Amino acid sequence: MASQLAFKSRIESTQSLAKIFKAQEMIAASHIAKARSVALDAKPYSDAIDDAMMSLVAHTKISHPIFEKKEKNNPNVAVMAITADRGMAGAYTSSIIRETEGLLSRLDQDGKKPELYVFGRRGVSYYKYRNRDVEQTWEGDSDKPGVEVAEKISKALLDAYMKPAAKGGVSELYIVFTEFINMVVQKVRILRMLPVELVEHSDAEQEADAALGETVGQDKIPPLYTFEPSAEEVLDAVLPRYVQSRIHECLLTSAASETASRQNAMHTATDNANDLIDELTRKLNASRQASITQELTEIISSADALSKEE
Amino acid sequence: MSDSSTSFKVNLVAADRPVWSGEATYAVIPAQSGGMGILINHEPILTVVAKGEVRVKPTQGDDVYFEVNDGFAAFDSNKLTIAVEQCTKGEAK
Repeated sequence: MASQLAFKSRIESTQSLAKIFKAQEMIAASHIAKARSVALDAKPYSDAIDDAMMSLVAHTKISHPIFEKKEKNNPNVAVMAITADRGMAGAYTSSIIRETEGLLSRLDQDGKKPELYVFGRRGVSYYKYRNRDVEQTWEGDSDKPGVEVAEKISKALLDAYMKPAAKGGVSELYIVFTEFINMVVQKVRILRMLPVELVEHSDAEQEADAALGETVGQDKIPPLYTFEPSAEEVLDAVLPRYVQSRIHECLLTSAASETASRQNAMHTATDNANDLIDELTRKLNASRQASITQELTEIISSADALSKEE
Repeated sequence: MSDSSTSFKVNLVAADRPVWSGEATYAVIPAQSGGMGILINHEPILTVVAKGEVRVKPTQGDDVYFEVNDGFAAFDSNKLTIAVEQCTKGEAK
């Protein structure tokens, strides 16, 4: 019967899809561990930079353009969206794009002129397809962003930031990325990267540290530093690295989120495929049973007809 | 055994990974104006690290060498942190 054949072929194709989803899920699961260890490996460096920044801030009267832009009324701002290179990650890229669009329209309402920077092939193709102006794009390595990528991006963004307004410089930089909270929860965040606002340890945090038995009191006050060759030059050397390491952090947490949401999406897809297989199998059985019943009825009724004739 | 009266903590990190950490009695870092030697109780300092060689004399074992590229080093309360962009294991010269 034709419908039975149709059911069988649908079941077969769903089964092979389920296998693909399962494999994707397992690949994502193995990448998660990798993404985590990469993020952990990069942590000591960013901690060292944070510490250095803290002591610089505590000991120098900082007037660096990274903290305060000289041209206050420059309407140009940069927005950087971190998306994925590949699909099959559920709503990962679409929620980033939704947030980015929201941010862009908010900035527009404030009378600013946002310029768009996009990382990740999915985001790039989204904006290309819609013929939107994109200032600069980066593709590849969205699931394992290395230092080189972070360096390229931070260099381009810092260049744009350092340029004077007349030459198309921007006054602010926003980054839209996905924070990895845990395997199930990833949250899209908007971070204003530039100008840098240094987060100093609040009293509450110090108390929390003290409660944990960590260094208290005078240890918290950064020691009196000597700067070599000079405070300005140290600042010039540390600040771009600070920005770069912050961007790298964003890329890494986004990569972990991407892999996690891919794993979740593939898990759901596998479940759905299995449900579909169950349903189709039931329908196949029902249709087979129906055809058997029909044949039986035909045989019995013809036998009845024959016996009546005798 | 690490002797806390002559040694200090050294932590060398590259941008993508921690490289070396441990107790050392002496370290040389390539500052911009030349090699800078660090002993215990050095004054707190924050310096730019140029391309060059980091040498660390651990409390135990032979000296370790690293080729580093661009970064900075901070020393305070007998803890030396060297953060560099790139780092490869170097050879004794």
